[in-house]
Amino acid sequence: MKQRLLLCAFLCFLVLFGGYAGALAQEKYPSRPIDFICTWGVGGGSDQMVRTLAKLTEPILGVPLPVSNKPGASGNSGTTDLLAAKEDGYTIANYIADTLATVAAGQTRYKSEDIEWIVRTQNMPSFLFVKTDGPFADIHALLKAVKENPNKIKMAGLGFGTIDDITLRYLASKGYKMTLVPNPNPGERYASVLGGHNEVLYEQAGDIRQYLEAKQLKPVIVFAEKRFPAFPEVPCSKELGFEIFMPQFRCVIAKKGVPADRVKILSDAFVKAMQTPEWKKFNQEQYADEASTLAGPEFGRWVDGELKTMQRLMKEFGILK
Amino acid sequence: MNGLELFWVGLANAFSPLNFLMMLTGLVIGVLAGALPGITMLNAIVLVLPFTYSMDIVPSLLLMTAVYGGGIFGGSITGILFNIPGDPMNVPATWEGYALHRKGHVAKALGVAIMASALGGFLSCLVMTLVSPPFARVALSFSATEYFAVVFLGLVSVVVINTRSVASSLVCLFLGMLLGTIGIDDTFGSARFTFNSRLLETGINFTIVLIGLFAIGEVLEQLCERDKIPDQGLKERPKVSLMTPREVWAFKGPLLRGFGSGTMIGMIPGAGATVASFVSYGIERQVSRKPEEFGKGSWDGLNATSSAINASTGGAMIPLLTLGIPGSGATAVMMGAFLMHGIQPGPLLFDKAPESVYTIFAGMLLCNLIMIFAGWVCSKFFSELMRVPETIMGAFIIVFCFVGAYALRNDTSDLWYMAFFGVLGYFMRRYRLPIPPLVLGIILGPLAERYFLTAMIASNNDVSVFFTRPVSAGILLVSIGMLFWPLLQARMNRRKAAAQAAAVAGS
Repeated sequence: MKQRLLLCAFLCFLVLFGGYAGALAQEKYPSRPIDFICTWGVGGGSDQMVRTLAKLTEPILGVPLPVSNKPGASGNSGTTDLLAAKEDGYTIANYIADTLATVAAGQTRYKSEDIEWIVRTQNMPSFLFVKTDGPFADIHALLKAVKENPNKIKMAGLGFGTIDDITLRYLASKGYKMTLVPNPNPGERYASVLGGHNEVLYEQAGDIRQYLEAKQLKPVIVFAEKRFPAFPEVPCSKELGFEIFMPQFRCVIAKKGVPADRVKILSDAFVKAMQTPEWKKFNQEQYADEASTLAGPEFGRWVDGELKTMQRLMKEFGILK
Repeated sequence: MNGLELFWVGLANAFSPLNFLMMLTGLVIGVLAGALPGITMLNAIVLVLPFTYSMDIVPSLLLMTAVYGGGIFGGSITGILFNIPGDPMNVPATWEGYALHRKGHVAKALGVAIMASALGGFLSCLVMTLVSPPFARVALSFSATEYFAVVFLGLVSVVVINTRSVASSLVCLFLGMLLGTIGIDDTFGSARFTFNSRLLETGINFTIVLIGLFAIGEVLEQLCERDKIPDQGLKERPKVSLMTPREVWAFKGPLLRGFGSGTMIGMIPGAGATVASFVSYGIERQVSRKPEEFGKGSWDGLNATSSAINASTGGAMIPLLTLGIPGSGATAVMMGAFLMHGIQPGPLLFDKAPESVYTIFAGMLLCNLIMIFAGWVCSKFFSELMRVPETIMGAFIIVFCFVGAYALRNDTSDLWYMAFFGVLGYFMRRYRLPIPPLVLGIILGPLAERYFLTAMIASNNDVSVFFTRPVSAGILLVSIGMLFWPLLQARMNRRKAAAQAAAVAGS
């Protein structure tokens, strides 16, 4: 009797073990939900990007992509969480240019090599905006006023040592000196320009769409090599002789060490999701570049290039010693 | 259609079953979340956000504004009942409300908090409905200089409240401000007091400090004085008695002052309900006819602060709807909801979707009236908890605190912080150091610093800017007056007493 019981137990064990081992052997990726960390706060541009992308990618991967927000330290709180998780491809996060700038400045504990760059989802040029009913008709009027009154004209931006600051210092090196008034809270930053407390706003167009549509603010220059299709009348920095193009980009990353086949599955799914009309509409509303999608090793090389440019400019302007 | 017609259409829409249901659900979720320490009003709004994706924009917005209003008020319930404010803005209401509770006025204190919050919220929504555009322009004329002045007023208000010892208030306030500087600073990106530890780099979240000091501290204290309190809860059925119209009229002064300061401060981006709560409380302390009651159970103080916190909701909606500027965390999430539905809040909203805007207006007005009912039901429910023995209740509070603290940013280091501040809270109670100034310092300190630095950078380091701009000069003078008036008064009293003594001795 006792023996039979033992045997039964053994059989049960075998069945369970076999089942488990079998499951392990043929585990298909992804077979459970993938955690998507949004490294910025709820409701902001990054959050909208992450949630829209997660929604569109879920049917392609066949598993949910629950989004959790982990804001703080210019996106580094969430990135630190990602790097603390297992490199099994079940934790991913978003990443933006402002966070990369902190890597360039040597403020982070991790390096860009610790990150698996999966796919660039949005590439958005930065602009300078002024009030539509303000004193500056176009970039020439603004530059003239800046040259005549050095450091008198104020530009609202994210903060010191950011890409806003780099661009400002570049302009200063060309003889156009403005004062940077930093404010990490976007609402306050926009209010300060709309209320006339600061004359110029450094921003990407998608974040302030409502003010553009209501004709309260207008772009005067785009920091890019070509004019932006949505604003054909706005000159680009290249044609004015300013060799500075620091786009804001948003992308999806994982921890380095995720198996290559899983990275491929993720990257293919995101690229597919970004071909849907919903995503195209979203990207257009965000004034993102039409050729935003960039995946694979090509994207990794592009990030490297951006990082090197940031470091070079930071050294040149004394941000980085 | 003109404004009035639109308003009636909006009101009719607000009464549609779905919208009405959303408001009621939102209020209950908001009040419950606000009341639980650790689950903040903001958490609750974020929590309902995913459910709004599949809805229309109007019911989504009504749901979120209901959670917003309910969440702001909800923390007052647990504050009055258990001395544990649910959110930072409920700290002044806790101070007065719990003192009134100890005096045996718990039913009335809850009723006053409900009615004052609902009335303040209703009036501010009326302002929002009627005069949004001009008020939005006023809000825009404020710069970092004025923001700093308002936050400074908030900081001063807490110092003058504590009548027992201004010195101990100041010590706790500065300790709070010091703790607030830990982490990567916002303006220059430099690390301060981080000692190269990841735990300190992210800074100390003020909600964690609040939960630790108030909730955990309170439970620890009860645990240590267990033999002094009875082991059973309340025997009789607890009541909640609302204010009668006559009582509302009697408190019209504090209610209106709270509403006024709440609406104005709500409009300022970044400040919000917490600043409104403390500033209105401080002002009331100055103008009240019974200033000696403050801190020991003042009806004036409870009325003013409760009215102010909910008045800030209408104020905060003004820049969001008319300018597309989200001033606070709550309105930022609502802005996200707008954008997810493909609608840009801002000046064009009134032209593009007037009916939606007026339905939101009417809904928010209605919402504040329903809040009297929802607040009453929830208060009754929470009062029932008073019948649970305190020891069992304490265990549950601790569990809620840990869950809430973790949910805040999904970070286990926050749990360690909370435990640390819980122990600190216990010792502060033991040694009679006031806790509210510390909490206020950690909340307002970083704000004050950021506004000060921004104002300095914008004015090329010219300090006189604070006194050459009229609004900022006015607010700062009031603050300085508030700070020195008690000292002056004490000195005059002493001189008078000395003169009298001399006269007596001379005769």
